[in-house]
Amino acid sequence: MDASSRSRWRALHRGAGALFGVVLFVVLFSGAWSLAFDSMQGWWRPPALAVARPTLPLDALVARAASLGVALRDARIVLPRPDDPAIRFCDARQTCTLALDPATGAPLPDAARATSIVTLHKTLFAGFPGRIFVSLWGIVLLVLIVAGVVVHRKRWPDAARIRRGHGLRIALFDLHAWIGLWGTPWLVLFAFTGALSGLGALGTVALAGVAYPGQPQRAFAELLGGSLPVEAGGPWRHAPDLDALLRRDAARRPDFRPEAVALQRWGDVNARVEIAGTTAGLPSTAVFEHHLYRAADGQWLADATSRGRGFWLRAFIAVQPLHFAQYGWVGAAGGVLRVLHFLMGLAACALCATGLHLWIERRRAQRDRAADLLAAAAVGVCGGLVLAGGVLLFAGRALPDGVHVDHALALLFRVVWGGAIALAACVADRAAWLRVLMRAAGVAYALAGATHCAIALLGAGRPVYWPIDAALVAFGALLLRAARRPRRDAMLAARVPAGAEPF
Amino acid sequence: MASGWGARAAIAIGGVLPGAVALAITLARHYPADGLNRLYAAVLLTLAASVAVLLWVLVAPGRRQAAWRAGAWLAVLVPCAMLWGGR
Repeated sequence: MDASSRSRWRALHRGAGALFGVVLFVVLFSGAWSLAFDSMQGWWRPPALAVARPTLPLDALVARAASLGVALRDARIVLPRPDDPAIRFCDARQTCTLALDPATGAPLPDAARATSIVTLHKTLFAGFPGRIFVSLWGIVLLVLIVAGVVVHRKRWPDAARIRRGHGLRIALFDLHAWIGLWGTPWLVLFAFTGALSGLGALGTVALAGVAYPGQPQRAFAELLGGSLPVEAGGPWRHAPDLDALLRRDAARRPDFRPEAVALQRWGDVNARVEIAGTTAGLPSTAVFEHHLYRAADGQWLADATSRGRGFWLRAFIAVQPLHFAQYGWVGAAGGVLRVLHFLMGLAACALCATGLHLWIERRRAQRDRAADLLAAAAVGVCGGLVLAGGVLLFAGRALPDGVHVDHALALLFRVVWGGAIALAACVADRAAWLRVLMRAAGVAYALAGATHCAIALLGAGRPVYWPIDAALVAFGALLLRAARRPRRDAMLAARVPAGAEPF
Repeated sequence: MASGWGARAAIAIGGVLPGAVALAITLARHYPADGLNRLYAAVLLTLAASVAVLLWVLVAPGRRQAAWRAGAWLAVLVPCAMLWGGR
């Protein structure tokens, strides 16, 4: 590659990073948050729930839900799992309206606090158009990754080291290259599957009529493996035995892990039960893997699976478990892969932050006014989001349950983030403001972990979900460490002439 | 620099987006596979091809060259969609 071409790739990497880096940080941080949030459902529940106890039969829990007013006619029951020991009852649109303690049948408070950042990642609070917009950042990330790898590809032999003692700028440059080069497989995974999460849905809707001229609905029916609608046959004489059905399904398909049970026309003699889950070794989700039974006599009717379907369809189906790190189909290594996925998500945030810092410092040295604008946006938006997330976790765990508190928490998140952005636009010393934000965020995350640990000790007599508490305290400590003022010699070394810099 | 890349990004998107639509329609209609595989081959291949062309346009040595590259992608694909993408 000649020097001109290389400089164009470098200019693309820098220019696109400066233009899109702040929003990309928001998308990546909220994505890592969403992943953690999915594993933290049990963390939000009362600690006693996590202590192993004998559970009630599923039929008893279903009857309990019906007595509490849940419409079971077309309901979906999300079964307990290690991350969330509660059993949840959802409607046909998968909106969960009730959670029960599987040991006692007692209703549980909503564990959906801190969903603001999850919604931010999924839709930017703008529904389907927002989902498409967020997925476009996957393309931006792909462009940045390819350009970054092209620019830094000769650094592979040195990519294992981060030079210390050469100043902050060199250390951050090395960290940026180190994460970018070693994390490339995950970054490509995040970018490609993220882009397809929204654009795939858009493509399905837009191209269904092209692939199936005149009958686009066939695409959705074939994709989901949906069964024919159940005809009414009158009320049944006695309720079916769901536990026996689950046992029969486990015996028939031992490699299948049930995650949810969908009731179809429940209460009718023709009612059906769909057991959805994942199959070992098959990168798919419960949306595409399900077994259908007749409720009255437990007769197996059909299986829907991605196994044996075409390459492109299976590739599309694999997008969701890969993007959301749903590695249950991998087996024992699934948990480790999920943790690695989350850590790489945080590393990608650090990649954005270091890239923005390097660009801003370089342009500031050239007295470019754009550097100040980007610094204000980066400090306020990125630092504010990290702080708002920490405050949400701490306040959400410390405050009592209640709808009013939930609304107050959502408001608190917006006020903290908005306030950080407004102040970053006003203050003169943005580096100092960033350190304040990081210190406050560090304290908030550490307090969230400590508060949950204390609540667990009081409520269950022993720590539950302690790895999450430890991770929160560690993240808080990392933020506090990063918020320390750089040493004077590091500051001086950071002011080396631009021509001598490697970036 | 960032503003320069903003203009270049606008040229690239202006060329790549309609080309991507044309490619997706052509593949969804004519890729040799059954209905759903044809549909998702169109989605996945179009995404990969669009990112490749986006990069090709973005690293062009100048705005005129970028516009030419974006236009070339369009000039190939739009007739394909018009000739073979219909019903």
